[in-house]
Amino acid sequence: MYGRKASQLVKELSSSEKGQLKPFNDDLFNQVIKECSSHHVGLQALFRNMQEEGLDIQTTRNADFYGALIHHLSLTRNKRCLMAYMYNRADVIRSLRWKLGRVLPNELVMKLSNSEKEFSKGYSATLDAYMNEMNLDLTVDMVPPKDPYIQVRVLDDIGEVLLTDRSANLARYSMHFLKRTDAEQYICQVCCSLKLLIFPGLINSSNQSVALILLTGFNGGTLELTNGVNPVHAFLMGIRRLPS
Amino acid sequence: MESEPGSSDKPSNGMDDFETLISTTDVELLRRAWRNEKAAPEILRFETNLIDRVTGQLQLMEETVDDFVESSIDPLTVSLYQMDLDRTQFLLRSYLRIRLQKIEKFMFHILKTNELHDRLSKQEKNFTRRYSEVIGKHLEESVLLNLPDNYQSLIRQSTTSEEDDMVPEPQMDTFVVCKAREYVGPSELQDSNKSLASDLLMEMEPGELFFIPFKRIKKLLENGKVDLV
Repeated sequence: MYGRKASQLVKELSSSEKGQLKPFNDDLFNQVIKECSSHHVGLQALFRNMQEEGLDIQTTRNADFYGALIHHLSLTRNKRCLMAYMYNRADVIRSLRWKLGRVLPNELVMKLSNSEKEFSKGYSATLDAYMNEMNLDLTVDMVPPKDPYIQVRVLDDIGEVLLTDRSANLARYSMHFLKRTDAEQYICQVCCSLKLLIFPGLINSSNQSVALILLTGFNGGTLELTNGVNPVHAFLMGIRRLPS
Repeated sequence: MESEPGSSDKPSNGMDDFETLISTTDVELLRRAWRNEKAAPEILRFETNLIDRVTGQLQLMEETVDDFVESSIDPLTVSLYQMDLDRTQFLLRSYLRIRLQKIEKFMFHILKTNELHDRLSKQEKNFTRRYSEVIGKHLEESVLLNLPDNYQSLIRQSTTSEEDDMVPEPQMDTFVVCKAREYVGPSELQDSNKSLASDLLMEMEPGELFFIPFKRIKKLLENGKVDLV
Protein backbone atom coordinates (compact mmCIF):
# COMPACT_ATOMS: atom_id res chain seq x y z
CA MET A 1 0.00 0.00 0.00
CA TYR A 2 1.24 3.46 -0.85
CA GLY A 3 2.82 5.32 2.04
CA ARG A 4 2.82 2.40 4.46
CA LYS A 5 6.57 1.97 4.58
CA ALA A 6 7.09 5.66 5.21
CA SER A 7 4.62 5.61 8.05
CA GLN A 8 6.51 2.67 9.54
CA LEU A 9 9.60 4.88 9.63
CA VAL A 10 7.72 7.56 11.52
CA LYS A 11 6.17 4.99 13.84
CA GLU A 12 9.62 3.77 14.67
CA LEU A 13 10.43 7.32 15.76
CA SER A 14 7.37 7.74 17.90
CA SER A 15 7.64 4.32 19.52
CA SER A 16 11.19 4.91 20.71
CA GLU A 17 11.66 6.46 24.10
CA LYS A 18 12.07 10.20 24.23
CA GLY A 19 15.66 11.24 23.67
CA GLN A 20 16.57 7.70 22.67
CA LEU A 21 18.12 6.87 19.36
CA LYS A 22 17.47 3.66 17.48
CA PRO A 23 19.91 2.45 14.83
CA PHE A 24 19.38 4.23 11.54
CA ASN A 25 16.96 2.11 9.54
CA ASP A 26 18.90 1.98 6.30
CA ASP A 27 16.84 -0.75 4.71
CA LEU A 28 13.41 0.76 5.23
CA PHE A 29 14.70 4.22 4.42
CA ASN A 30 16.00 3.11 1.03
CA GLN A 31 12.79 1.26 0.29
CA VAL A 32 10.83 4.46 0.81
CA ILE A 33 13.22 6.36 -1.44
CA LYS A 34 12.70 3.69 -4.11
CA GLU A 35 8.97 3.94 -3.68
CA CYS A 36 9.27 7.68 -4.32
CA SER A 37 11.06 7.06 -7.60
CA SER A 38 8.47 4.56 -8.75
CA HIS A 39 5.70 7.03 -7.89
CA HIS A 40 7.47 9.56 -10.03
CA VAL A 41 7.72 7.14 -12.95
CA GLY A 42 4.03 6.32 -12.59
CA LEU A 43 3.15 9.99 -12.42
CA GLN A 44 5.05 10.86 -15.57
CA ALA A 45 3.62 7.90 -17.47
CA LEU A 46 0.09 9.08 -16.71
CA PHE A 47 0.90 12.63 -17.74
CA ARG A 48 2.38 11.34 -20.99
CA ASN A 49 -0.83 9.41 -21.62
CA MET A 50 -2.80 12.58 -21.20
CA GLN A 51 -0.53 14.54 -23.48
CA GLU A 52 -0.74 11.87 -26.18
CA GLU A 53 -4.49 12.10 -26.01
CA GLY A 54 -4.09 15.84 -26.54
CA LEU A 55 -5.59 16.80 -23.19
CA ASP A 56 -4.64 19.85 -21.19
CA ILE A 57 -3.08 18.74 -17.89
CA GLN A 58 -4.16 21.90 -16.11
CA THR A 59 -7.87 21.50 -16.72
CA THR A 60 -8.62 17.87 -17.54
CA ARG A 61 -10.10 15.83 -14.75
CA ASN A 62 -10.13 12.26 -15.96
CA ALA A 63 -9.04 8.90 -14.55
CA ASP A 64 -5.43 9.50 -15.54
CA PHE A 65 -5.36 12.84 -13.79
CA TYR A 66 -6.62 11.44 -10.51
CA GLY A 67 -4.23 8.53 -10.80
CA ALA A 68 -1.39 11.00 -11.18
CA LEU A 69 -2.72 12.99 -8.26
CA ILE A 70 -2.59 9.90 -6.05
CA HIS A 71 1.01 9.36 -7.07
CA HIS A 72 1.83 12.98 -6.35
CA LEU A 73 0.19 12.95 -2.94
CA SER A 74 1.86 9.66 -2.00
CA LEU A 75 5.17 11.13 -3.02
CA THR A 76 4.78 14.28 -0.94
CA ARG A 77 3.59 12.19 1.97
CA ASN A 78 6.64 9.97 1.70
CA LYS A 79 8.80 13.05 1.53
CA ARG A 80 7.23 14.45 4.67
CA CYS A 81 7.76 11.16 6.47
CA LEU A 82 11.37 10.89 5.36
CA MET A 83 12.06 14.47 6.40
CA ALA A 84 10.33 13.96 9.73
CA TYR A 85 12.43 10.88 10.33
CA MET A 86 15.69 12.66 9.58
CA TYR A 87 14.73 15.90 11.28
CA ASN A 88 13.62 14.32 14.53
CA ARG A 89 16.69 12.13 14.66
CA ALA A 90 18.75 15.26 14.10
CA ASP A 91 16.95 16.78 17.08
CA VAL A 92 18.03 13.90 19.27
CA ILE A 93 21.58 14.14 17.96
CA ARG A 94 21.62 17.82 18.85
CA SER A 95 20.42 17.12 22.36
CA LEU A 96 23.17 14.53 22.74
CA ARG A 97 25.74 17.21 21.98
CA TRP A 98 24.39 19.19 24.91
CA LYS A 99 24.26 16.23 27.25
CA LEU A 100 27.38 14.30 26.37
CA GLY A 101 29.78 16.84 24.97
CA ARG A 102 31.76 16.91 21.76
CA VAL A 103 32.63 13.26 21.42
CA LEU A 104 29.83 10.74 21.30
CA PRO A 105 30.41 7.26 22.69
CA ASN A 106 30.99 4.58 20.09
CA GLU A 107 27.77 2.80 20.90
CA LEU A 108 25.86 5.86 19.79
CA VAL A 109 27.97 6.62 16.74
CA MET A 110 27.23 3.12 15.45
CA LYS A 111 23.56 3.99 15.33
CA LEU A 112 24.03 6.96 13.05
CA SER A 113 24.06 7.08 9.29
CA ASN A 114 27.07 8.63 7.57
CA SER A 115 25.26 11.84 6.92
CA GLU A 116 24.17 11.97 10.54
CA LYS A 117 27.76 11.58 11.70
CA GLU A 118 28.68 14.55 9.55
CA PHE A 119 25.75 16.49 10.92
CA SER A 120 26.75 15.70 14.47
CA LYS A 121 30.25 17.02 13.83
CA GLY A 122 28.95 20.02 11.96
CA TYR A 123 26.51 20.92 14.70
CA SER A 124 29.15 20.55 17.34
CA ALA A 125 31.48 22.84 15.41
CA THR A 126 28.69 25.39 14.91
CA LEU A 127 27.92 25.44 18.59
CA ASP A 128 31.60 25.70 19.47
CA ALA A 129 32.01 28.60 17.09
CA TYR A 130 29.10 30.41 18.72
CA MET A 131 30.38 29.78 22.23
CA ASN A 132 33.83 30.99 21.18
CA GLU A 133 32.39 34.19 19.80
CA MET A 134 30.43 34.72 23.00
CA ASN A 135 33.40 33.57 25.07
CA LEU A 136 31.03 31.57 27.26
CA ASP A 137 30.48 27.86 27.70
CA LEU A 138 26.74 27.33 27.47
CA THR A 139 26.72 23.60 28.11
CA VAL A 140 27.46 23.97 31.81
CA ASP A 141 24.99 25.41 34.27
CA MET A 142 21.98 23.64 32.80
CA VAL A 143 20.03 23.84 36.04
CA PRO A 144 19.62 26.85 38.29
CA PRO A 145 22.38 26.82 40.89
CA LYS A 146 21.31 26.16 44.44
CA ASP A 147 24.56 25.96 46.34
CA PRO A 148 27.95 27.05 45.05
CA TYR A 149 29.54 23.92 46.49
CA ILE A 150 28.71 20.28 45.98
CA GLN A 151 29.97 17.08 47.46
CA VAL A 152 31.35 14.63 44.96
CA ARG A 153 32.81 11.18 44.98
CA VAL A 154 35.44 10.37 42.42
CA LEU A 155 34.78 7.23 40.43
CA ASP A 156 38.05 7.03 38.55
CA ASP A 157 41.57 8.12 39.23
CA ILE A 158 41.89 11.68 38.05
CA GLY A 159 44.94 12.75 39.95
CA GLU A 160 46.06 16.20 40.89
CA VAL A 161 43.92 18.91 39.33
CA LEU A 162 44.05 22.65 39.55
CA LEU A 163 40.75 24.12 40.64
CA THR A 164 39.90 27.79 40.58
CA ASP A 165 40.68 28.32 44.24
CA ARG A 166 43.12 25.53 45.05
CA SER A 167 44.45 22.25 43.75
CA ALA A 168 43.05 18.92 44.80
CA ASN A 169 44.02 15.31 44.44
CA LEU A 170 41.03 13.57 42.93
CA ALA A 171 41.99 10.00 43.73
CA ARG A 172 39.58 7.19 43.08
CA TYR A 173 36.75 6.85 45.61
CA SER A 174 37.89 9.91 47.51
CA MET A 175 35.28 12.42 48.51
CA HIS A 176 35.54 16.15 48.00
CA PHE A 177 33.69 19.32 48.60
CA LEU A 178 34.18 21.26 45.38
CA LYS A 179 32.93 24.36 43.74
CA ARG A 180 30.05 23.39 41.51
CA THR A 181 31.56 25.09 38.49
CA ASP A 182 34.80 23.17 39.02
CA ALA A 183 33.14 19.81 39.38
CA GLU A 184 30.77 20.29 36.49
CA GLN A 185 33.40 19.98 33.80
CA TYR A 186 34.40 16.56 35.11
CA ILE A 187 30.84 15.43 35.40
CA CYS A 188 30.21 16.39 31.81
CA GLN A 189 33.26 14.69 30.42
CA VAL A 190 31.39 11.46 30.12
CA CYS A 191 33.59 9.92 27.52
CA CYS A 192 36.84 10.73 29.19
CA SER A 193 38.29 8.80 32.01
CA LEU A 194 36.99 11.13 34.67
CA LYS A 195 34.06 10.09 36.72
CA LEU A 196 32.48 11.85 39.59
CA LEU A 197 29.44 10.94 41.50
CA ILE A 198 27.38 13.58 43.14
CA PHE A 199 25.56 12.56 46.24
CA PRO A 200 21.96 12.24 45.19
CA GLY A 201 20.63 13.73 48.35
CA LEU A 202 22.27 17.01 47.54
CA ILE A 203 20.54 17.37 44.27
CA ASN A 204 16.94 17.37 43.27
CA SER A 205 16.32 14.05 41.52
CA SER A 206 14.43 15.70 38.70
CA ASN A 207 17.31 17.77 37.50
CA GLN A 208 19.85 16.97 34.93
CA SER A 209 22.94 16.82 37.05
CA VAL A 210 21.85 13.48 38.37
CA ALA A 211 21.46 12.28 34.85
CA LEU A 212 24.94 13.32 33.92
CA ILE A 213 26.37 11.58 36.90
CA LEU A 214 24.52 8.40 36.19
CA LEU A 215 25.93 8.49 32.73
CA THR A 216 29.42 8.44 34.05
CA GLY A 217 28.69 5.02 35.44
CA PHE A 218 28.02 3.48 32.11
CA ASN A 219 31.57 3.84 30.90
CA GLY A 220 33.29 2.92 34.10
CA GLY A 221 31.08 -0.03 34.83
CA THR A 222 30.31 1.28 38.26
CA LEU A 223 26.82 2.51 37.82
CA GLU A 224 25.42 3.69 41.07
CA LEU A 225 21.72 4.24 40.99
CA THR A 226 20.13 7.17 42.67
CA ASN A 227 16.61 7.44 43.89
CA GLY A 228 13.81 8.77 41.76
CA VAL A 229 13.29 7.65 38.20
CA ASN A 230 12.70 10.31 35.59
CA PRO A 231 12.73 10.29 31.80
CA VAL A 232 16.39 11.14 31.74
CA HIS A 233 17.12 8.13 33.89
CA ALA A 234 15.13 5.97 31.52
CA PHE A 235 17.17 7.37 28.68
CA LEU A 236 20.34 6.44 30.46
CA MET A 237 19.16 2.97 31.26
CA GLY A 238 18.55 2.62 27.56
CA ILE A 239 22.14 3.43 26.84
CA ARG A 240 23.28 0.81 29.25
CA ARG A 241 21.35 -1.83 27.44
CA LEU A 242 23.27 -1.24 24.23
CA PRO A 243 25.36 -4.03 22.85
CA SER A 244 28.95 -2.99 23.28
CA MET B 1 12.87 22.65 33.43
CA GLU B 2 14.33 25.51 35.41
CA SER B 3 12.66 26.72 38.51
CA GLU B 4 11.92 30.33 38.89
CA PRO B 5 14.46 31.88 41.20
CA GLY B 6 12.46 34.99 41.94
CA SER B 7 9.13 33.36 42.60
CA SER B 8 9.46 33.91 46.31
CA ASP B 9 9.28 37.70 46.27
CA LYS B 10 5.58 38.14 45.79
CA PRO B 11 4.60 41.65 44.79
CA SER B 12 2.48 43.53 47.24
CA ASN B 13 1.38 47.13 47.14
CA GLY B 14 3.80 48.14 49.80
CA MET B 15 6.64 46.75 47.82
CA ASP B 16 5.91 48.70 44.67
CA ASP B 17 8.53 51.30 45.42
CA PHE B 18 11.05 48.65 46.20
CA GLU B 19 10.17 46.79 43.03
CA THR B 20 10.70 49.79 40.80
CA LEU B 21 13.96 50.41 42.58
CA ILE B 22 15.38 46.96 42.06
CA SER B 23 13.98 46.67 38.57
CA THR B 24 16.53 49.24 37.52
CA THR B 25 19.45 46.87 38.07
CA ASP B 26 20.77 45.03 35.10
CA VAL B 27 20.32 41.66 36.74
CA GLU B 28 16.64 42.38 37.18
CA LEU B 29 16.42 43.51 33.57
CA LEU B 30 18.16 40.33 32.50
CA ARG B 31 15.73 38.28 34.51
CA ARG B 32 12.87 40.06 32.81
CA ALA B 33 14.36 39.49 29.38
CA TRP B 34 14.97 35.84 30.25
CA ARG B 35 11.42 35.34 31.48
CA ASN B 36 9.93 37.00 28.44
CA GLU B 37 12.13 35.00 26.12
CA LYS B 38 11.23 31.78 27.90
CA ALA B 39 7.49 32.34 27.65
CA ALA B 40 7.23 33.86 24.18
CA PRO B 41 6.62 31.48 21.28
CA GLU B 42 8.70 33.53 18.84
CA ILE B 43 12.19 34.91 19.19
CA LEU B 44 12.35 38.38 20.71
CA ARG B 45 14.79 41.18 20.07
CA PHE B 46 18.27 40.43 21.39
CA GLU B 47 19.09 42.72 24.32
CA THR B 48 22.46 43.75 22.94
CA ASN B 49 23.26 46.58 25.36
CA LEU B 50 21.98 44.72 28.37
CA ILE B 51 23.98 41.59 27.59
CA ASP B 52 27.12 43.66 27.02
CA ARG B 53 26.69 45.35 30.37
CA VAL B 54 25.94 42.09 32.18
CA THR B 55 28.98 40.38 30.67
CA GLY B 56 31.14 43.27 31.82
CA GLN B 57 29.68 43.18 35.30
CA LEU B 58 30.15 39.42 35.54
CA GLN B 59 33.83 39.86 34.78
CA LEU B 60 34.11 42.53 37.45
CA MET B 61 32.35 40.27 39.94
CA GLU B 62 34.64 37.38 39.15
CA GLU B 63 37.62 39.61 39.80
CA THR B 64 36.10 40.80 43.05
CA VAL B 65 35.54 37.24 44.22
CA ASP B 66 39.11 36.34 43.28
CA ASP B 67 40.39 39.34 45.22
CA PHE B 68 38.33 38.29 48.22
CA VAL B 69 39.77 34.81 48.11
CA GLU B 70 43.30 36.14 47.90
CA SER B 71 42.87 38.60 50.72
CA SER B 72 41.24 35.81 52.75
CA ILE B 73 38.02 37.55 53.62
CA ASP B 74 35.37 35.65 55.55
CA PRO B 75 34.50 32.55 53.47
CA LEU B 76 30.80 33.13 54.05
CA THR B 77 30.98 36.52 52.37
CA VAL B 78 32.89 35.01 49.49
CA SER B 79 30.41 32.23 49.07
CA LEU B 80 27.52 34.69 49.03
CA TYR B 81 29.22 36.68 46.30
CA GLN B 82 29.96 33.45 44.48
CA MET B 83 26.34 32.40 44.66
CA ASP B 84 25.21 35.74 43.31
CA LEU B 85 27.70 35.38 40.51
CA ASP B 86 26.59 31.83 39.73
CA ARG B 87 22.96 32.85 39.57
CA THR B 88 23.57 35.71 37.21
CA GLN B 89 25.73 33.49 35.07
CA PHE B 90 23.00 30.91 34.95
CA LEU B 91 20.50 33.54 33.83
CA LEU B 92 22.80 34.70 31.08
CA ARG B 93 23.56 31.19 29.84
CA SER B 94 19.96 30.12 30.03
CA TYR B 95 18.87 33.23 28.12
CA LEU B 96 21.32 32.50 25.33
CA ARG B 97 20.40 28.81 25.31
CA ILE B 98 16.69 29.47 24.98
CA ARG B 99 17.39 31.73 22.05
CA LEU B 100 19.54 29.11 20.36
CA GLN B 101 16.79 26.55 20.81
CA LYS B 102 14.29 28.85 19.17
CA ILE B 103 16.67 29.58 16.33
CA GLU B 104 17.23 25.88 15.74
CA LYS B 105 13.54 25.22 15.72
CA PHE B 106 12.39 28.05 13.48
CA MET B 107 15.56 28.63 11.52
CA PHE B 108 14.14 28.66 8.01
CA HIS B 109 11.28 30.85 9.10
CA ILE B 110 13.70 33.30 10.70
CA LEU B 111 15.99 33.28 7.67
CA LYS B 112 13.23 34.25 5.26
CA THR B 113 11.62 36.83 7.57
CA ASN B 114 13.79 39.94 7.72
CA GLU B 115 11.99 41.27 10.75
CA LEU B 116 12.91 38.20 12.77
CA HIS B 117 16.42 37.94 11.42
CA ASP B 118 17.12 41.53 12.49
CA ARG B 119 16.31 40.56 16.06
CA LEU B 120 19.32 38.27 16.33
CA SER B 121 22.70 39.27 17.66
CA LYS B 122 25.69 39.23 15.33
CA GLN B 123 26.88 35.95 16.81
CA GLU B 124 23.44 34.44 16.54
CA LYS B 125 23.28 35.40 12.89
CA ASN B 126 26.55 33.57 12.33
CA PHE B 127 25.20 30.60 14.22
CA THR B 128 22.01 30.60 12.15
CA ARG B 129 23.93 30.74 8.90
CA ARG B 130 26.31 27.95 9.85
CA TYR B 131 23.62 25.77 11.33
CA SER B 132 21.34 26.17 8.33
CA GLU B 133 24.22 25.04 6.13
CA VAL B 134 24.86 22.01 8.30
CA ILE B 135 21.28 20.84 8.59
CA GLY B 136 20.49 21.76 5.00
CA LYS B 137 23.39 19.67 3.78
CA HIS B 138 22.41 16.82 6.04
CA LEU B 139 18.80 16.73 4.84
CA GLU B 140 19.79 17.18 1.22
CA GLU B 141 22.32 14.39 1.23
CA SER B 142 20.18 11.92 3.07
CA VAL B 143 16.75 12.63 1.63
CA LEU B 144 16.25 15.39 -0.88
CA LEU B 145 18.84 14.53 -3.50
CA ASN B 146 17.41 11.01 -3.67
CA LEU B 147 13.97 12.29 -4.57
CA PRO B 148 12.72 13.18 -8.08
CA ASP B 149 13.70 16.63 -9.37
CA ASN B 150 10.44 18.40 -8.60
CA TYR B 151 10.48 17.30 -4.99
CA GLN B 152 13.96 18.32 -3.92
CA SER B 153 13.16 21.63 -2.28
CA LEU B 154 13.96 21.93 1.39
CA ILE B 155 11.18 24.39 2.09
CA ARG B 156 8.44 23.23 -0.28
CA GLN B 157 6.87 19.83 -0.62
CA SER B 158 7.06 20.02 -4.40
CA THR B 159 7.45 22.62 -7.12
CA THR B 160 3.67 22.80 -7.41
CA SER B 161 3.27 24.02 -3.83
CA GLU B 162 2.19 27.62 -3.82
CA GLU B 163 3.88 28.56 -0.58
CA ASP B 164 6.68 27.33 1.68
CA ASP B 165 4.79 24.51 3.29
CA MET B 166 7.71 22.72 4.92
CA VAL B 167 8.80 25.56 7.21
CA PRO B 168 7.77 25.32 10.85
CA GLU B 169 6.50 28.60 12.24
CA PRO B 170 5.90 29.63 15.83
CA GLN B 171 2.33 29.41 17.09
CA MET B 172 1.46 33.04 17.53
CA ASP B 173 -2.01 32.43 18.96
CA THR B 174 -0.74 30.28 21.77
CA PHE B 175 -1.85 31.47 25.17
CA VAL B 176 0.61 33.15 27.48
CA VAL B 177 0.36 34.53 30.99
CA CYS B 178 1.30 38.17 31.18
CA LYS B 179 1.37 40.91 33.72
CA ALA B 180 0.73 44.53 32.89
CA ARG B 181 3.41 47.02 33.88
CA GLU B 182 1.25 50.03 33.23
CA TYR B 183 -2.34 50.82 32.29
CA VAL B 184 -3.31 49.44 28.89
CA GLY B 185 -6.49 50.71 27.28
CA PRO B 186 -8.94 48.60 25.24
CA SER B 187 -7.77 50.08 21.94
CA GLU B 188 -4.25 48.78 22.44
CA LEU B 189 -5.53 45.29 23.07
CA GLN B 190 -7.51 45.08 19.83
CA ASP B 191 -6.80 42.15 17.65
CA SER B 192 -5.40 43.24 14.31
CA ASN B 193 -8.41 41.50 12.83
CA LYS B 194 -11.09 43.90 14.02
CA SER B 195 -13.97 42.15 12.32
CA LEU B 196 -13.89 39.52 15.05
CA ALA B 197 -17.14 40.06 16.89
CA SER B 198 -16.05 37.84 19.73
CA ASP B 199 -13.20 40.19 20.47
CA LEU B 200 -13.83 41.21 24.05
CA LEU B 201 -13.18 44.76 25.05
CA MET B 202 -10.79 44.70 27.93
CA GLU B 203 -8.26 46.82 29.69
CA MET B 204 -5.32 46.08 31.92
CA GLU B 205 -4.47 47.65 35.22
CA PRO B 206 -0.83 47.65 36.36
CA GLY B 207 0.10 44.41 38.09
CA GLU B 208 -2.88 42.46 36.81
CA LEU B 209 -2.36 39.00 35.41
CA PHE B 210 -3.86 37.95 32.08
CA PHE B 211 -4.09 34.73 30.17
CA ILE B 212 -4.22 35.83 26.58
CA PRO B 213 -3.14 34.80 23.06
CA PHE B 214 0.41 35.90 22.43
CA LYS B 215 -0.34 37.78 19.21
CA ARG B 216 -2.61 40.21 21.02
CA ILE B 217 0.05 41.40 23.44
CA LYS B 218 2.97 41.10 21.03
CA LYS B 219 3.14 44.84 20.43
CA LEU B 220 2.70 45.61 24.12
CA LEU B 221 5.53 43.27 24.99
CA GLU B 222 7.79 44.94 22.47
CA ASN B 223 6.95 48.34 23.98
CA GLY B 224 7.65 47.04 27.46
CA LYS B 225 4.09 47.62 28.66
CA VAL B 226 3.57 44.02 29.73
CA ASP B 227 5.81 41.21 30.96
CA LEU B 228 5.38 37.54 30.37
CA VAL B 229 5.30 35.31 33.38
